[in-house]
Amino acid sequence: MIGRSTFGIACLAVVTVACYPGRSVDATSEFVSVTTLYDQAAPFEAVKKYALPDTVLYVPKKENEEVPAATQTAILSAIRTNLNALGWTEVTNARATPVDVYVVAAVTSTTYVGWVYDYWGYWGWYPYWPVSYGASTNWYYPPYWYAYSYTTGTVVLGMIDGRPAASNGQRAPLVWSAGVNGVLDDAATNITIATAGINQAFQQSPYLSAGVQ
Amino acid sequence: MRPFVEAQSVHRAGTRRVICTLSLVVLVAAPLAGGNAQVLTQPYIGTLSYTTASPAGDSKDFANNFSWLGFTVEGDWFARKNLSTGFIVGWQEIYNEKNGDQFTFTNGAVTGRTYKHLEALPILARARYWTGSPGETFHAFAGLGLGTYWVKQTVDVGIYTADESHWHFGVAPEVGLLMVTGYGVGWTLNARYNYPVAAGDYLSGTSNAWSYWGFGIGLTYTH
Repeated sequence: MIGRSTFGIACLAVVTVACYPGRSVDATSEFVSVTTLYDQAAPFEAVKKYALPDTVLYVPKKENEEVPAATQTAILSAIRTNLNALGWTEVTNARATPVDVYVVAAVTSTTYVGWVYDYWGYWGWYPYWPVSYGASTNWYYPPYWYAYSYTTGTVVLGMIDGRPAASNGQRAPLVWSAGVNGVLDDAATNITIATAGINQAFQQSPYLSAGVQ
Repeated sequence: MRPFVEAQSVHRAGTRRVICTLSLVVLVAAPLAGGNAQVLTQPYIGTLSYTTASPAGDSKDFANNFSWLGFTVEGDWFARKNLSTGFIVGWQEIYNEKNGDQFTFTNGAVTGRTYKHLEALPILARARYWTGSPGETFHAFAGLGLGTYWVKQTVDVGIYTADESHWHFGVAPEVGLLMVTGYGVGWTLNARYNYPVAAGDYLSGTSNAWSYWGFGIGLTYTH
């Protein structure tokens, strides 16, 4: 993952706590969610071999910019570890050795801009209001709305059925997908969150090893 | 689902504070207007209560957490010495936050830190039967409220939020005790079972009866 928006994260936390009583947001990791979807007809139990491309792409593609090498390495390593734990075997040359599935990874990000209402600033301003109001030329409007932005990142994983019979001459079907979504922080935190999310994606997909029940 | 900062809900914090401030003004000013009237002999009795809540039924299944955030404004007019009719308007928030919560659906699952939130706005007409006679310190009462509840259900997962709100028909049986401390001012303790009848199409795709036990302590005055 890329980018850093500490102020945005702080504002996000402020907005969260202000709107939602009792909610505590102490770390970027608390904004993370992991979503997995699968094809209920896919024969996961029959998968033995997989191919994993050596690149993690930006989606949409960014001109002259690639996902940082350390991030790519961490994401691919986490995926590989989990696939191997399923008992599947990696094939490095899928053209020479047919595989059952291809697993791909991509990163996408979106920036949100919003406003936060600082009601504490409002109360701080209020006691001075009569004075300023009395001298009408000095009257001012309280600056208790602040603009902020934050950027979310998503690691997207896809598993494509690579067997010729599965595609039946058509587009090869996507049989499993996962999204690790959260607010971007510094690079090290992003990698930690991404790899933990990938592990969670496999953990909540037991059908990959046992098959769809 | 959408990022929750896009929910335009930031206005609510300010609105809530204004409501709380106005409520405090009423809390302080109202008893002064009560003079030295006596309960059961005056036509009107008003109560501002701080309320807590213990979720029940669907509310408990959704967010099983005791609520310390609520209030009611209540008024009663005595039709007879021991029988009053009145109203209840209130606000109660029930919420629960949990790490690693997981929602499963037919072809997948989503996991994350979840924040589940119910906001309930009861608007009820009610009748109360009072024990005792004018001049006594303690008056027990039992009542029944009928009316409507507006309930909003919110679920946050990670940066995403989803919400749904509906109006419900509802009933609210209650019991309680009024202690008169003098000058027509007193304290009220009550327990009320709030039962908004199942309605709506909430986030789970079903109608829900967001019931909860409300426990209130209130400042009461007669006028």
